Amino acid sequence: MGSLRLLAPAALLVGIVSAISIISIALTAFGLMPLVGQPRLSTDAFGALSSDLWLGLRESFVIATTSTILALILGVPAGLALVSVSRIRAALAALTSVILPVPHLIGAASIGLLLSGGGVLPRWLGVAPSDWPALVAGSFPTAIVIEFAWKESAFIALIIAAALSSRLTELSEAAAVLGAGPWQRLRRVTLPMAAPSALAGAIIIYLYTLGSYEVTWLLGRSYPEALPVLAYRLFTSIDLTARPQAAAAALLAILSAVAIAGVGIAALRRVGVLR
Amino acid sequence: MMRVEGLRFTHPGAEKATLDDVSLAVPEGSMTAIVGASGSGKSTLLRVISGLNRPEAGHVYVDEGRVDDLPPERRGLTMMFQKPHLFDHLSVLDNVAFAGDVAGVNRSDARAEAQRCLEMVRLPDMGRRRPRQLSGGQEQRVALARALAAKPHVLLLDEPFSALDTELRHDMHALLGQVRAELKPTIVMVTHDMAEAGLADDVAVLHDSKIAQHAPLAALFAEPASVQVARVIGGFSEVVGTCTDAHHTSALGAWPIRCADDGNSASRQSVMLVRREQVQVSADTAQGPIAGQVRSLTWAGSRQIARVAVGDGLEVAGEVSLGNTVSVGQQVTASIVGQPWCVDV
Amino acid sequence: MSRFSPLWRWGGGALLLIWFVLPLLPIMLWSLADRWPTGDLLPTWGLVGWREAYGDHMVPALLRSTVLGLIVAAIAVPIGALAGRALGWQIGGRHPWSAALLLAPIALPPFALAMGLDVLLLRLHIPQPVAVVVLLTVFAVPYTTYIVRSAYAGLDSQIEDQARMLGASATQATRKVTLPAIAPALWAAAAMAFLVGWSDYVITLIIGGGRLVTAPILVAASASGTGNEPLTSALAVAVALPLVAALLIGRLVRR
Repeated sequence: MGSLRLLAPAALLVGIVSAISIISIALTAFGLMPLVGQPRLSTDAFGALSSDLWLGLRESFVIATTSTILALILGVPAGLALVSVSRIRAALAALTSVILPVPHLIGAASIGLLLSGGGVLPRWLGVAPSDWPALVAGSFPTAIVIEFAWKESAFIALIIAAALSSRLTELSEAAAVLGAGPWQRLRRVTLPMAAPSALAGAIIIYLYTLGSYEVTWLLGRSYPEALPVLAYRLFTSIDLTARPQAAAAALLAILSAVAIAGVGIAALRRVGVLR
Repeated sequence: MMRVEGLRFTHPGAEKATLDDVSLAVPEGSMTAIVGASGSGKSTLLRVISGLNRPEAGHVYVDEGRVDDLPPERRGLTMMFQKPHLFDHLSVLDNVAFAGDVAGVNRSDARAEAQRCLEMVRLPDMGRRRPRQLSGGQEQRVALARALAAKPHVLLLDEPFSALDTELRHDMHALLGQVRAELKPTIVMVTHDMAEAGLADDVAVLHDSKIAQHAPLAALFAEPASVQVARVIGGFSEVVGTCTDAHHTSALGAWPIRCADDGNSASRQSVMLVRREQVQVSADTAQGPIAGQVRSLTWAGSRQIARVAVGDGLEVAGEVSLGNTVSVGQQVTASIVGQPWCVDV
Repeated sequence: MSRFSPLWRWGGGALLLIWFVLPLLPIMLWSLADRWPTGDLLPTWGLVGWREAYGDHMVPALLRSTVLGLIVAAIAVPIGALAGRALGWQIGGRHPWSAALLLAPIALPPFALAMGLDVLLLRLHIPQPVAVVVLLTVFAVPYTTYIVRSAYAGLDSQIEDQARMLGASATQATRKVTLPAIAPALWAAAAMAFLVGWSDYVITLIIGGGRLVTAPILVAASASGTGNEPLTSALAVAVALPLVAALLIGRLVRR
């Protein structure tokens, strides 16, 4: 069949590489693929790490949840501003599309220089480093959340603008003719039209922030660590027995992502984005 | 010339064959229109002829050569679809020069030929435009020029004018007539418009996966081969009754008829197919032998058509006699002019 | 049409602009600074960061990132284009399983797959750079596939039949008609795939094991290290600027 010939290269590459990577992570986590010694089925890695794993998982979910919510809170109005008649529209369009290709690592480096004790913001506000709150590497992952929300709000703004641009004006005018005020139009027309795209964007952001390493590592504290940071530290540990523990953390991250993706797909089906 | 023999084609996953033992011959330089209900497989027939779809059985001949085993591009035919499908990345001239380009003709020769074809469709100055700058009518004319530039032995037309408004469609019909006079291509055209089918020398009616009748349009109107053919052509009222000695007896009474089997005097079930031009509807209740009540009124050109209920659930459509005014619900009379065609059930 | 009050529009608009622009300012300012004395509103301008970045082997690292991005694009675009054709034109059906599989990498954490693949490299005798390219391609394929898929979905497949009917072979029809028609999508897909390779950090870090030094590796090393703001910023700008420039040039070209 012609269609199989077309799909095979991409599907085989993605399928085989994903599958063998996940299988090798699972085997390592359960002691069946040790770096040295005999393979032995065990859940030791999970047991030895249980408290760190749960803290890491919680940290990752806190980061993903707050980042996604903040990205929506800022991205949705920005998306609406992009399709409205406003003076900041051109500046906003240029900014959001410039931010989109900037790698998260670069954003994290810059936000670090903005929000740390000797950073640009405390300088400008005239706050001494000792009086500045620990936004970077503090007890709440503030800088991490701000970095994610900053870049992903630009993403949300652009997909919402794309979803609204075609039909918003006429529907909004129809609503105005029917007597709806600006707030009513926003709540009854604009937001419902933007909702499916915002939901799809939110799911993508949630999955990304859950599994992202560099931002959490660069701007986060040393304990407790988010799951990716914990996994990588254990993975590069000189203690070779830490390998299964690293794999256990990675496996937990994969399972969390799959679970969130499942919930996300169900939600998208409900609102009719997916069949 | 173009000929197909015993074509059978079933869409993947479908239970019933779309084309079953379809045979059709289109003489050199003539034009045949294919008509049929939507979904009857008209477009599929063109796709099978063109080689875009492969038949399960049967043969296709172009100019006496069997082309079954040739790929679509080497069968010596071209097709125009309902959409013009101009290639947006090429200028209008290069669109028309496309066939020459893929055939390996050098660029300047291909463009010179393209320019001649653009002149034939009366768009000589449009060559440098982009397709997006054209109107709908111009697009379809460029598509025709592009098809002609391919110098096809057989031109397949899959309702190419149906998306155009009436005036542009008439322009295209005139243009097609001119092209036929100058180049005399063999043409097979799918259409659902009887006026358009009338441009053709012959009309083939596709019904139930087969060619039900293949004849000039006048013959189809006068002597449809079956009730189904009459339904495809339209404009007939079907009156069920019995046929004896060249007369048809029904709720309408006994009327002289013509039928395919005049010599057969045995009484048999048959359907009288009455064209609406053969029925005169009069407001004068003393006028005709058939009495009934007007159900609905429509217009066919400048003539008003009344559907008259004559009892027994039978309805007959006819022209309202000139000078008469009727309204829905009114009692009227009708009479049949001439001898309607009659087919056995 | 009545509007929101000026307070909402101006206040909200200004806040949004500040929100989007502020995070980019530190690397822009520091990349052009020698020092920033405490109490000063702006730094002391200078190019020490760029000199240090040059000494830090920035140029070869940028070249490695470029090559990585180009190789990923060179693989991910053709295979994504083929899959996108099958999905966009629904050739042979809707292929729900392939469609889901080709989207899956969006959900999977890159670091976890990188660890899994890295564990296997020694056993499978795969060179590290090859594995980096392969895994980055896996993460680029969803983008290339779905960008091309949308382009095919917006293109009537009859256009290829039309080309065949004008004498083009199947190959000619694809090459002379379909590919030019979806060219913008192919460029967009190439840009996305390049971006995946150019900006990757974690996959290069884990599988490259520190031996494949790309530009993001330098940025991360400096940013997490000694607090040399001019160097970190110069490297960061060197990674981000080409992307922003390419985006702006792309916009101009499209007009």
